[in-house]
Amino acid sequence: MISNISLLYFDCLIIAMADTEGLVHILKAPSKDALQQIFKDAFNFRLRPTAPQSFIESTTKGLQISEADAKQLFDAARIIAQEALFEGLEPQRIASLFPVNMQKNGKLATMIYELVPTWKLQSIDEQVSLPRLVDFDWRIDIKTASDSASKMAVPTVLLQMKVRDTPTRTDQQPGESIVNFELTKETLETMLDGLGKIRDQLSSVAK
Amino acid sequence: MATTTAAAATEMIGVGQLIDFKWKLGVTAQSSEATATHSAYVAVHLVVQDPSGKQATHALELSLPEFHSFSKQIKDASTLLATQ
Repeated sequence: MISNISLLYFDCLIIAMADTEGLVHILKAPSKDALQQIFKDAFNFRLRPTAPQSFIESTTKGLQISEADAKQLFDAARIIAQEALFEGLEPQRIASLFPVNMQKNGKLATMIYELVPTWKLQSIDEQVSLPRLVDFDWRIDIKTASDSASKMAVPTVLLQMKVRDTPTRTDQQPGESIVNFELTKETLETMLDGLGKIRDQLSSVAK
Repeated sequence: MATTTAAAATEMIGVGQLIDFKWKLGVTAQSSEATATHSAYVAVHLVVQDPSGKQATHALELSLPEFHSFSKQIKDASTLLATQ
């Protein structure tokens, strides 16, 4: 018991046991799926300042608890999920984050531990980054004539990229911008060269 | 004759031309949300010059699957272009 408390003190400095008191309400969950869904929602909406309306509605109905309790539950679940992900906690250490009377709940701790890998991938997908490439289309055009040359057959590639900008609001998907450009055969080949170098480097980077 | 035609082709009405393609390959070590993420990404800088001569730089990032898909499609376009 004493070693548990010291671990809690040193590693989870910012989490007081009182922060996770709201978790007791989860014991009223009707099924394991409902339990999982609550934690998944808490993680998905982790950037919101408080529990979103959809979460409040589904938990007050499904668990028969008040709105205030639902909000408390959201905050507790969110804190635990984020800590479990950031520190890469084992089930035992996850359990030490629970309120005092839930410390022995190993099954819940294991369930959270098993959700962490998915959360990690989700977090990687949403992490700080430059604008992301969403989609790109290309077509090959053959220029047959123009005002300066009446007959020619010059193939070029027209590339259109859809880029999603960095998000600026937590509740909205950012807009997409379109980048259009043309490549000649030489430019395309140089680009392909560069991409080949990237591929080679990738195979030497340990995943 | 070919040189003039090619030159004429690039100068005509069109969308911007790609002038530069810079890239870097990186691996994320850690984020504010998760430890030991180890996810690789390719960051790209495209410099596009529009017909009026103005240059615009576009910075973007691709995850590995996105990069592989992009790379394969550019290769397909290149093969097709060579047969035209």
